[in-house]
Order: sequence, then C-alpha cells, then structure tokens
Amino acid sequence: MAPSAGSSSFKGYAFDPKAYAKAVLHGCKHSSSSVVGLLLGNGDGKVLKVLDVVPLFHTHALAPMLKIACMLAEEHCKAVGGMEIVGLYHATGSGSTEMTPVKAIAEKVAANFAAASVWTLDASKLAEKQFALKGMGRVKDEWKAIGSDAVNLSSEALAETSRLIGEMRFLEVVDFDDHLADGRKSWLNESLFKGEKIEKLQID
Amino acid sequence: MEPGEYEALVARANSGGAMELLQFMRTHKIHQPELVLLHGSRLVKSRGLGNELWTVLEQVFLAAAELGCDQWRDYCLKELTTKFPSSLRVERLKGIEKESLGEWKEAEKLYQKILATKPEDTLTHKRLIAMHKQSGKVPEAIEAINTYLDSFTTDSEVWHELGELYIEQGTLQRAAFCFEELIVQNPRSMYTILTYAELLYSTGDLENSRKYFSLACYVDGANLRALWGLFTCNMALAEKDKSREKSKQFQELQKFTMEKLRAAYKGLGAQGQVALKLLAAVPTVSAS
Repeated sequence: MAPSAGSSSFKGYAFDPKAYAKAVLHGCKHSSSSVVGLLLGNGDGKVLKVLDVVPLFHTHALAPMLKIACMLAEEHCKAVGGMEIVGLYHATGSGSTEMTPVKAIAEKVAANFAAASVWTLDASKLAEKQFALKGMGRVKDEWKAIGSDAVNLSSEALAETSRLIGEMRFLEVVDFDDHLADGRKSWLNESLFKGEKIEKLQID
Repeated sequence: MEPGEYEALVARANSGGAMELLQFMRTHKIHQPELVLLHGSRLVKSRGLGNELWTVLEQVFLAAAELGCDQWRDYCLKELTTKFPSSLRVERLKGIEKESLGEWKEAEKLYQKILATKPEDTLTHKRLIAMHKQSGKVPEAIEAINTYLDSFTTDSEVWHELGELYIEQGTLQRAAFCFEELIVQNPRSMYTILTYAELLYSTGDLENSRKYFSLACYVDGANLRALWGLFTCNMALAEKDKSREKSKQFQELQKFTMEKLRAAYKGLGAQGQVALKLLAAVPTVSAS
C-alpha cells in the first residue's frame, strides 16, 4: 500500500455522526478496560473525513490479531471504496487521556497513512454533550495535539449520541474481540443504528 | 457458556428473567455493571427475593460503586452492614466504597486491617492489587502481585492479572513467562494457549507461536482466533518454509487452515464476504 497523504497534518477533521457515535459507544461498553478501534476515511489535503470506525479490541491488542483485523478492514475499505485506515481511537480503563498505550499501533498506522491521527475518549465530556475525543495528529514524525476548533461535528449528532448512551445501546456494539469469540457477530455493526435518527444525519 | 446463551438471558430479563440473568453473570463473571444496576435495583425494590436478597444487594452494591451511583451504593451497604455487622466480607465492601469515593488511603487502611487479622484472605489481597491498578499505579500493582505470588504461587487468577499488566506495560517477554505458568497449571485452556501464542508472535518467536496456534486449532478446530493466528504465522513463515525439508507439509497446513476459515465465513453476510475476499487474495504457494 502506497502512502497517500502528504506529511503534514490536516486543517480540519469532520466526523460522520455514526462513526463518532460508534467509537464512543464502544468505549462506553467496556468502560473499565482499554478499548481500541480503527478510523476509516479519506483526506483531500485540507480536511480529513472520518467516514466509519471499526471497533477492534477490549482485551489486549497483540500483533497477530491486530494484523488480521487491519487486513480485513482494508479489504472492507476496498469493497466500499473511497476510504482507507486513517487513524485510531482508544479509551483507557482508568480514564487517563494519554495516547501512550496505543503509540506503537499508531506508529504502524502512520507508516501507511502519514497524516494519521489518534483520538482518546474523554468520558467526562460526554455528560456535557461535548465532543468527547481528544485528538493527536502526526506532524513530521511527532504527535501534536489537535485543537478542538479543528473538529467538525453537529450538535445534533452529539445530542443523538448522548441519547443512545442513555438507552444503553452500547451493549450492542460488536468489536473484533467479540467476533473472534463468536463468528456470527459482525464487526461491521450493520444493524447498530437501524431506524435511528442518527442513521440519516450527514457528515458536515 | 453456550454462544448466545447470555444474550438470550439479557433479552428475557425484562419479562421475569432478571434473577436468572444476575445469577448467570455471577457464575460466569460477566462484567456489565449497567445491566446489574438496572435489573438488580428493580429486583431489590420488588422485595420478593428471599434469601437471594443479600447476594443481589452485594452485586448491586459493586455495580453502583463502580458506576458512581451513590444512592444505591449507600443503600445496599447500609442494608448489608445491618444484617451482617461483624462480617469481613462486608468490611471489604466498605473498602470498595472508599475506593469509589477516591479515598484510596482510607480504603488501603481498611484492607490492611482485614489482612492483619486474616492474612490468608486472598480476596482482600486481590482487592488491594485491583485498587493500585485502578488508581493508575501499575508499577505498585505489579509489586503487590509479586509479593502475593510469593505466598500463593499457584493462584492462576493472579498470574493472569500479572500477565495482563505486563502486556499493558509493553513488557511482553515477562507477560509470556506468566502465561507459561498458566499453561502448566491448565494445559487445555484455549484462552491461555491463544494468548501465549499471540505473545510469542509479538516477541518475534514465530516458530513456537505457530506450534501453539496449532495446538489451539487441535483443541478447538472451529476457533476463529486460533485459525487466523495459524494463518498469520504460516504467511509470515512462508518464505522460510519453502527451503525446508517438510515444505510440502507446511503448504498443506496453510491450505487446511484457509479451508477451515472459508467454511467458517460462508453465509455470514457482508463481514463474511470481506473475509472470503481476503482469503481469495492470498497468493497460494505453488509446490516447489
């Protein structure tokens, strides 16, 4: 796979409401464990669009299953078209918002997508219906904080996400760990938002 | 636990199956505090629990303490303290209450007091370890575990905990050592075999990793983690295998693994298609 984006970070980050909600719900489901997932999207040089996420693990993230999960996610991107793995999200059991635990994985993603970003769940923001992911972008071999003004997500999407948490819909999120334990559970989470208002919300 | 058994219980919980669900979660150590609080509190309110009441109160207490739901936490603890005023088990719960308030020092004092009268109380030892972990003090947690293992060498649960902590820290060689210990204690545990195989792979020992993934496939031939693991090892070792005496056998092994995976993903909808496409794209090694 050839590096597709330049070495500089993006000016803006737009999240598809469903992608954001899925990542947040995944973190909520396993609030006392470390959780990690992939961001799928594309960048046009200025704005990075996060179109979808793939929830990966809530136990440990070790090399072999990580490799398989990434290969499957890439295959999925090819099937859908117009997106690739552009970053990671993660949440820690202790509530710390440091990116250290996933740094090694992040470096691997950055090797394929130079302007990768890593987003850490800050659960304390959820109660206030604020954007709850703290971003770090890859700029010339270093990770730098992404200002919250660079992120684009409608307040409607935030309100819907918060409603879904209130209804405990996070119990339905399936990650790759769940899938490996029971193959019938789909890590694509096709029916997670079926019939919900958020399904129709568009990326800004 | 059968696949789907737990999900079925969750679905039935609102129509009279709540007690069964809570029981199931206790026996199988399923960690989902939101569900415990939701159904447990309803059960407690309904006042029809009989002798089960105290167990459910404890379960609801633990869930409420974790979620920071103070009213239920305090209610349950009060009821339990009144019923069992001199119980060590309730003393331990008081420690957990302190933890949920962030009063780590107070909690530690309570635990140390219990241990002073009953040094063999392994649950309190474990609580102390968990507390260090939860307050983000991983090195302290590791130290506490190592001290504990000096006295209780065969406690597999704690070896497991130590292994997971080492993984979290990124010290995979040490983690692998813990899982070796676990394999000796329980040689047919799929979870242990698979985690050990994954650790071996991650530390670069591909040959042995493949052996343990093979063992996992032998114990349970339908396990996806085992099959994908074996598949990854075979791919990583494909070049090396070519020059081996038994190269044919390794090719057969990969063919077998991929057949199993294909069979597993047939009829699984969109995600099955993704996996099948990936498998179709893998270059099959021609016989050399």
